[in-house]
Parts: sequence; structure tokens; C-alpha cells
Amino acid sequence: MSSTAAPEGWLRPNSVDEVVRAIKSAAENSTAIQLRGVVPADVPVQRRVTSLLMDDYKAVVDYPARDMTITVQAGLHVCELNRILAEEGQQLPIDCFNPAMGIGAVIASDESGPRRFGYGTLRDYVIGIEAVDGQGRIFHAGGRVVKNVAGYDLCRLLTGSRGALAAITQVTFRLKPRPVSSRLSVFTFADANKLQQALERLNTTEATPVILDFAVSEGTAELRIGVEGADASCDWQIEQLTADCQAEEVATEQNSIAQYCSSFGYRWSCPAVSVLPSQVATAARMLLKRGCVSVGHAGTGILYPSRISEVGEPRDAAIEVAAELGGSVTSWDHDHPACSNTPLTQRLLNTFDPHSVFHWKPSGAES
Amino acid sequence: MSTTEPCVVTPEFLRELAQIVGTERLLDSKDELLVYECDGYVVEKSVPDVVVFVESAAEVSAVVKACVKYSVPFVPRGAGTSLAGGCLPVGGGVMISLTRMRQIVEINLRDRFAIVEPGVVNLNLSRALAGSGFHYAPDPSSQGACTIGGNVATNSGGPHTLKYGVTVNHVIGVEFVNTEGDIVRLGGPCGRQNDFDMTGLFVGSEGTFGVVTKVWVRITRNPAAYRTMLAIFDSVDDCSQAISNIIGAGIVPAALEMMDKGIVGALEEAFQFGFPLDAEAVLLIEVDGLEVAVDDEAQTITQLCTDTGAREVRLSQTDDERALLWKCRKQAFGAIGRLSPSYCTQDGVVPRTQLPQILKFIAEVSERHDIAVVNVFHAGDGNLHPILLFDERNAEQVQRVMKASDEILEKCIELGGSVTGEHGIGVEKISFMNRLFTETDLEVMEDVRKTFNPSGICSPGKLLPTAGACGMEHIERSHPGRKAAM
Amino acid sequence: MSDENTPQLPVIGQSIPYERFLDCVHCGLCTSACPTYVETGDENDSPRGRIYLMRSVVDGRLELTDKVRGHLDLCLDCRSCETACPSGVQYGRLLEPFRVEMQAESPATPERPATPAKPDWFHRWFLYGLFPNRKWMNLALKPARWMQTLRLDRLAQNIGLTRLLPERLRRMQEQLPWLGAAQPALPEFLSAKGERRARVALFLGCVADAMFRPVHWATARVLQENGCDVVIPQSQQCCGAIHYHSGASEPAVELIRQNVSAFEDESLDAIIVNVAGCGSMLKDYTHIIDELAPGSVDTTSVVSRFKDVSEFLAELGIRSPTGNISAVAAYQDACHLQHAQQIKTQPISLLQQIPGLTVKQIGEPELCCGAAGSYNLTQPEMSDRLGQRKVRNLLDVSPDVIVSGNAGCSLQLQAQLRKENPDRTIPVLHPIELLDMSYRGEGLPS
Repeated sequence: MSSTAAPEGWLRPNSVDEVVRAIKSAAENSTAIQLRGVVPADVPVQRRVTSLLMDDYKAVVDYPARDMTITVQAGLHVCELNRILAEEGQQLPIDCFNPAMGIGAVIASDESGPRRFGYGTLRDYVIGIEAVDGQGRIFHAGGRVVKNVAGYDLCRLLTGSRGALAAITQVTFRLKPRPVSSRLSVFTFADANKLQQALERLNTTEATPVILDFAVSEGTAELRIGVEGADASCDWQIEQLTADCQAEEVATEQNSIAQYCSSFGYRWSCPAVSVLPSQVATAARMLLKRGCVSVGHAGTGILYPSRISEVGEPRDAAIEVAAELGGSVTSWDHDHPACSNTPLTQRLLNTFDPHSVFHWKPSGAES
Repeated sequence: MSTTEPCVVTPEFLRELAQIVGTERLLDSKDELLVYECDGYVVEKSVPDVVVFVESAAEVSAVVKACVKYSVPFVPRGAGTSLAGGCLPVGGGVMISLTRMRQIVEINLRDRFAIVEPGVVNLNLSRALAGSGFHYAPDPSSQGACTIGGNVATNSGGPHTLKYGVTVNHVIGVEFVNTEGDIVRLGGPCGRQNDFDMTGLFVGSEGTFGVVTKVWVRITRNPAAYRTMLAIFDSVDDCSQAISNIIGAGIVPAALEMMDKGIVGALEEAFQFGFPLDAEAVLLIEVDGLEVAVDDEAQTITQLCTDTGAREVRLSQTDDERALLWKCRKQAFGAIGRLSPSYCTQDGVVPRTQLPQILKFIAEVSERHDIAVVNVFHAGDGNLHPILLFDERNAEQVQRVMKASDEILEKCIELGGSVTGEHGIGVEKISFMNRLFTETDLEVMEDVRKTFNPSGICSPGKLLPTAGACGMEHIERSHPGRKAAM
Repeated sequence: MSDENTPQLPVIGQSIPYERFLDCVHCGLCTSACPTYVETGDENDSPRGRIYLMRSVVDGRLELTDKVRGHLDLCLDCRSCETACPSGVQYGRLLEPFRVEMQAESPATPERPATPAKPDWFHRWFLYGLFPNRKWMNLALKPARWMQTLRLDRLAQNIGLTRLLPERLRRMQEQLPWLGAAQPALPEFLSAKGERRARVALFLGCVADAMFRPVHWATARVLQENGCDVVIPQSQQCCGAIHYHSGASEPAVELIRQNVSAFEDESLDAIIVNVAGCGSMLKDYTHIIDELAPGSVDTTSVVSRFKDVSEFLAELGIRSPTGNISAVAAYQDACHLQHAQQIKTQPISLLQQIPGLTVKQIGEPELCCGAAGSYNLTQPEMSDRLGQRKVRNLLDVSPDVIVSGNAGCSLQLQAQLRKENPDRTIPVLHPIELLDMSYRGEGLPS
């Protein structure tokens, strides 16, 4: 019943009721709750903060493997979840830079990586949710079946909400089968122009890659393309992709996708530039002119720039390029949905968190 | 028909509407309004006071502002194919018909999205994409008539959503007119947004947040190859076991549809496909993907079916044969006319492994209430469409149908499922909401509705039992009527 | 619904079996197939809406007001909705008898058929008088032929003379195609070439025989070429569609009676029709007699032998045409073929056998071109909207020739093409004319 020992200001709940109590008490005392693992909106100076660490709330509630769904408590680590799923030949195909993150935090952060191109994002996998809002109300949405349109889709609202609306306590996912085999090929091009031409051809390739990543730096450009399936189908696809890409060089590895996807996450600290997929090569060239190399997801139009000199912020360059191309920039430490000034966002915040338990406003600032 | 307190539609209000859309695009006489009293769900009826045919977001905005000014509720309507009363103008008011907003604004193959107006018919988008190597994936059986605006409202499904996902998985942005009459844009074609996923929340909100005026949808690359199979079973049990085994084996077919003996008989009479009339159940299975991969998948599925007791697994040999098979499936509901003068379709969902249980239960219910039930449904998703056959002129039988329907849906909830997989709550299933959700869940949902639609002026009486329509509770479900379905 | 004290007015539509209304489950899948709904977006102009209107009138929930009438009149009766309907609603069998009663002064009851209203001058003189009579029609077109030869028609149009004509006559004038030189009437018998494979009769119709006699000749030649003896009974009459569809039931029954006796000959393997509109009427004779004058005419043996020429030839299997026609043909599905008779693939499969010819399907093939019998005269605005829509879809495939198996469509398409661009000359031909050209080794007319 009582929380296990935790550093000062930490709470390790092992029941939903404890989460409710913590939130209610924060609401009453005008203190704040931080969901561990979720990068908050802005740093509170004047208010006392309790960190909510869900690590003790991590049971598998229900895993009817043959239904290809699983219901778990929010503290379960992603790596542990995937280990459990692997035993049944299944997976939650979401890339996450920190496998020790609790699944609730991953959802709140809407983590995604290279496989986003082939598998989509968490919004495509969360089919049921339980959470506690800023008034301490336990609520549910969705359910445990893969197709369900009853009620509002609060699963999607909470996915990527960065902890500003509610503390997620339990989740049901739909799952995918694990592929038998995979290939990851690196196609090297002379420059971003050649890469762009290859991307145009790839738009109608017969292959069905799950990863379509790129890297552009001075004097070279690369595509990293991942395919999955039976060996024969992987090989056929790589052959097809090689013909489509017309690259200078091709290097293919077997079954290294998992490793690639987990290491890609180190870029999380970079600002992400979102543009249309057709603009990726252009954006990469523009970033290069501004002293930034970039890597990212060509298939979904996301670039992570970093300074060649490793001096200075890539964020200014990112903002310029995004503005010119009509895209947007997201950085974990700068941008937060709760900071959006649209009336709807503000109203939603007031609905879910009227006492600003999750949304840290410097005290004195009223909505 | 309803005892709803009538909303006040004054001559000034009508004049103001006419100034926006012109008298040509406004209906306000009783004889022309009657056809708008129901959609694909005919059990409950309510006539709107006015219908306006808008042609732009600006017009929608002006109409909504006028409604706000005069406190008249409004409800959007597309093709009116809802099976849950999604377009029912509860309490009258203004019906905003979006059928004239039917432009495909942009198709961008390279970036794989299209921008469409809400009145675009689902199939017309895929038709416009014909030959490009792309299509719009959500394919409700009503896709030949239903509109994308309506699909967004109900988060429509369809047979191929098993592999490709439902509408929300393919909608990346919406523009809508909110309940104050302002034009708001959510999401868009670029990857990451610095905001809550309000597009995801909006899809499936059944018109209670405002009126959609533009939709950004993903378009999907066509698969290179298909294999379409028909597996024939001598028992329903074996068939539902086979479904469970296929899913359990980690294969995600593009579609996995089950039809039982009753429906197969009707289909055979209608289309002469060559279905075996003595089979208890057939499975329509489609796999798609790479030419190098589909044969292996088809082989595995054939083996799984045979191992589970399939009498025969047929592979469709030509495109024409495949087209005919799908035509049979998609028009299955129409063929019911051959079995019975009236029918009522349900839309329950159960976890896929519970299919044998629910089918057994449906058979029991059928026997207990002496109501014939046939089944044709999206087996791969666990989304059932049991069809209860009756004669609407037999009042006592109708009562038994209602009872049987409720028991089936109740059982779906008990087995861990839901009362609607794709048709929506609308007005039809409002009474089930408090059986699916806790009081707090509904309170939170009601709060969410209020953030978008604080006064309840838009689509009153829908989705939530608390949706506060004046007089809603007085509309009684007198008889289940005749319905087609997805 | 109605007040007990008010005298019960006779409600129309009572003669229609109520089950036909119940067939409609109100799913709405027909709506997108309906040309008028696609144009207006108004449920009242959709098949589901119209059925709802008619049923509400029958139920006494709705009066037959001018607005209700207007929505029903706007229907083309193209029956595209029947193709789209999964429930097998017989829309035509609802609308057509309802219209017959709408026309009537006093509506039908289950015991007594409707008595006809007095037709207006246009119906009396033109639709019923002139059109259905082959000889008169030919005579009437003589001056038009001369005027066209002398280009006087263009002159009259240019100086605005035709505007003096009443609206409907002016539209008739606009619809007139290039008539060409008068061709002789078909004889009573034309014998098969080569091995004799069938004995068939040819149905001539009324307007078609006057305006499209070359198509009849082409049909006869193609049939002969394929081993058919062709009989042309001279006592045959107009099919009666104009009368029936405008609610004039007595003359319709009379024409049916005459045609049944004209084609009684048991030795005929088929009665060939090359106008889709006539074909669907002829194939419907049994239903119509059941509805208008039950038991008065035995239509069964005749009706089963009516065949559209493409349907018959596709079934028979044609001798390969050899003449090269290198052209792109846009195929326009006539509603009375694709919807009323469910004939869609046969004309295309015949055309595809012509060497050099590329047959292209057009966008929105299920939508009516707006001709719909006399619709282009009675509903000019909607007819033009649909006509222009069809023309856009046709021109999208850049055709050298447009092919349509229905005289009414051809007239409409030619008129609409002229309206779209008076200087463009894309021939509009019957599929059988192209086949005939290929058999005869002729190219497209320049």
C-alpha cells in the first residue's frame, strides 16, 4: 500500500489509487506532478514537484497472444514488453531511444524512429487506455478489441500529449507478428541530387520497405533501406531496390534492423524538422548550406540536423529551413503541445488539468 | 414524430440562411424535408426544419454563425448512409448537407496524400487514383455511396482494414468549422506536429465537434499481387477455429471474412458464384503483397484451414473471379431480401479468439427467441454483423428481435468486446454507452465534447447518453426496421 | 395521419404492390449512381429519396405537391440505381406506374386503372402523333434535310429565327443530327450470306427509322454477313415507350398489341433491336401489360426473343471483321443497355474485334447523358448539365469516334458536342455501324 522508498519528491505508486491520491493532493496543494521519462513543458521554479515513477506498476494485465493484443500497466519497460512479445513471435513495432523507458512515458512522448515509415506510429497501436486526469479522475477509452468506435478516441489524444493531460496507468496495444528475417542496405550516392532522384524512383517501387532513412553530409549521401519478410522476399526486394536506386555502392546486412532502430535514437536531442517527403533532399541541401549535416527518415519527411563543427545550435538553421519549406520544427526541450496557443488546446488543458498539476506554469501565471 | 420541444426557426433566420446559400440551395417546405428525417437507420425519425446545401467552408462558417445567433441546432450530413442514425436531426434545426462539397482538391502521389472535400464519395477518390498505383485504403462496403466526411465522422472500417487499418489510420488532417463558426485546421501532411493529436480525436467524433470542410488523407501504394481464397467448412466451430489459428499463426491477411450457411444460400441465388450450398460456413481470405511472398502465405493459410477441418480451399483463378467474390461479399446484405422481408444488422466486436463462443451464443439466442439469424462479417477483426431476420409487420416478432439483439451485444461486452466496430454509436447505441464505460469515463468524454461544442448546438443527442439533446429521451425505439450494413 | 373528418381523397400509387416499396432498405447505396443526385446533391433527387416521396404519398403522409411532382419528373428513369442497388429494388417498376398515375386525372385503384388526362399540344401533336409514325416522321424530316443541305438551318439559327419556335420545338431542332441523303426503306426480307445460322427479325422503331435508317441498313448487313436471314415485318409499330413513359397507357397497350402480332412468327430465332431504349421497353412488355391491362395480350413468346443486336451477335459469335479502322473509340454506355438490359461487355467485345480500333472506357460510365427519351425536351436544364458532363468525360479520352448503342444518346451527344464546340466534328456512331464499316473495308467518315 505504501510507496517504496524513493528519493525525496519521488513517488513510486503500485496502484492506480496511489496515482489518484498523489494527483488530488497536488491539486489541493498547488504542487506539480512530473511523469518520469516525459520531458515537461517548462521548468517550474516556484512550485514543489513530485516525480511520479511508474516502475513498480508494470504488470502484464492480460496477454491473449492469439488475439494479438496485450494489456499492460504503464510502468512496464519497453524492452521487457518486447521480450514478452518475442516469446510469442510478436512485437510492438515502435522504435524508442531508451528501452528502459516505461511504456506510459513512451506513449506520452509518442516515440518513433526509422520503422515509422513501414509501421506507423503509436497512434496506430494503442487501442485502449486508462489514465488519471488532473482532477484525479480515473478514465478509460477504447477497449481491448482491435476494432472499436464506441466513444471518443482519447487514446489518440493522450498519445503524444507529453503528460500534459493525464497520467497514463494502463494500455492495450494491438500487435504485429515478428518478421522471419530482415535486411538493411546502405545505398551510397555522390550527392543529395542523386539521392533525390533515387527517392523519386522509390516512390513507386514494387518493394515494400519498412525503413527509408537517409544521411546527407558534405560530399556524400546515403539511403538506408530496411526490408522484412521471408528470406526469399527480402532478397527479391533488395534486388529490386538496388535496381531502383542506381547507387554507386550497396552494402547489405542481415537482421541488423533491430540494432539500427535502437541506436538511431541518439538523435533525440536534435531538433526534428518535418517537411513533405518530396522535400527531404532539398531540406538536407539547405541545411548543409547552413553548416548542418542531417540524418533522418526520408519516407516520412523528418530530418535531424547537427552542426558540422559541433559548435552552436542546429535549431536556428532548422527553423529557417522549415519556415522556407512550409514545414515545422520540434525539439523536446523547446516545443510542447501544451505551449500551443490555439484556443482548443487551452480549453483541453483546462478540461483535463484545471489545477495545472501536469502543465507547469510558473506560479502566478493564470490561464 | 418526436416529442422534442421544437427549436424556433424564424422567418428572419431563414432569410439570413437564404442570403448565405441562396433560395435555390435551401429547403424549408415540409414536402421536401421529409426525406431527410432518417438515414440508413430508419428506426428513429426526426425531420429537420431547414436543409442547406453548402458549397464552401466560408458558407458553412456563415451558416453556423447564423445558427449560433438564433440558437438553432445544426447537424452535418453527407450521403446519409449511417447505420446508427448519425445524421438524425434530433430536435430538428438546420441540416447542413455537404453533398455539393465534392471536389478532390489535390492529389499528391509523391507525398502520398490527397486533400478532399467532405462530400467526395469514398470510391470516387480511389477511382480518381486508378492507374496511378495508389488507392485510398479504407473500403467500407458502402464505399460506392458514402462520403469521406462521413467516414471521418464515424471512423469507418471495411474488409481490408484488417491489414490496412481504419479511417483514423489514414486521416492526417482535417479542416472544420467549429461551433462558433470559425474555420479551424488540425494536422496536415507533414510528419510531426507541435500539438495534441486532435485529428485523431476528431475522427470518430460523429459530427459532435463541428462540420468537416476538408480532409487530408493518406493514399496507399497498391499491392503488387493478391491471392484470394475460399475455404469451405462443414461446421461453424471449425471455421471460427480456423480464423483464430490464422491470426494466431502471425499471418495478417488483407481480409478475412466469414459467411455462414444462410447467407451463402442467398448469395448463391443472387450471383450464382458456385458456393457449396451444403457447407455450414465459408471463409473469404485474401492475402496481398509481393508476388514472391503471396503464394507461400496462401499455402500456409490453406494448410491451416485444412488442418482445422476445411473440406476444401479454393484459390480464385482470375481477376474476374476475384471481383465476383468481392461483389458477393460486399453486396451480401442486399441478398438478404431473398431470405426475409425485414432484417436488422448488429455491429458487435469480440476478441478474435472469442469468435467460437459468440457464434455459439448467437445460435442459442436465435433458437431461444425463434428468430432466424445469419452471419456475414469481418472475422479477422472479430467484428460481427449478425443479421436478424423478421417481418416488420409482426409486432410481437419485432419485440423478440430487439430482445435478441440486445442479448447479443450484451454478450459481446461480457466477452471483452464492444457494441460497435464501425457503424458508430449515433443514436442507436447510446443506451449501451453506460454498459461499456464507467460514469467517470462518460463524464470525461462529455467534458471533451464541451471543449469542442460547449453549448451542444452541433449534432445534439449523439454518441453520449449525456449529450443533452432536448427531448432525446422521448424518442423511443419502437421497432428495429430494415437496415443494410457494412 | 389524415384527419378522419376530411373526405378521403383518392391517393395515387395504390395500384403498385406495396412490397415493392418495402424492398428498399434505405441504405442509400443508389445515391451516387443517380445522375440527378450527383448534380444537385439533394436527397429528393435521389432514387432513395424518390422512393421515400412516392411511399409517403401512398402512405398518405405527403400530398402530391408541385415540388414532389417536380422531383419525380426530374428523374431520367435511367435505372442506374437498379444496377447499384444491392437489394434488387425494381425502381423502374415503382416510378413508371407512379408516373402513369400522376398523369392521370383520377388515379388508379387496385380495381380500376387510371383514366388518362388530356395531353397538351406538344404531347398530342409531336410525342404521340408525329414521332411514333414512321411515314409521317420521314415526311416531316424532308424539309429539315433540304435545309441542312442548303445550310439554311445554320443560317436560321445564326440570325435567331429559331428562337421564334416554342422552347420544346427549338430544342428538337437543335437535337437534329446531320441527316444525310435519304435512304430507301428496308425491304421485307434480306437473305443470309454464306452458311445460314439463324433467322431473325429486325425491329425498326419510329424516330430511329426516320433519323437513323443507315443504322438499320448497317444492322441488316452485319446480320446477313453473319449468316442471318433478316425479316422486316412491315406491320410493326413504335414500341410505345414514349406513350407509356408519359403516362398515356391506352395507346401504349394498343402499340404492344400490334407489335406482338407483327412478330408472332414462331420460326424467328430472335427479334433484333438496335435502339437500347426500344429494346428495354420491348423486353418489359409482359410487366407493362400486367400493370396496364392484365391478361389482354399474351406477350411471353415474343418477349423472350427480343435481343439487342450486340447481345445477339456476341452470343452467336461473329465472323472476324477484317477492315482496318485505326482510331480511338470512346464507348458510351447507354442506360437502357447497361442498366435496363444489363448489357455492358457485349458491345465492347464486338468492337474489340475490329482491327486497329482502340476502345476506351470513359469516366462515370454509369451516368446518363441526359437524353433519356423525351427528357431532353421536357427537362432541358438538367439534360444540358448531364449532357455537358458526359461530353467532358468523353473528350477526356481524346476519341476519334464516339460509339453508343442508342439513338437517343447519339442525338443528345451530337447536340451537346456541337454546343461545346461548334467546329469540332467527332462522329457519333452505333457500334454496329463500325462493325459494318470494317466488314465492308471502309474507314471512318472524314
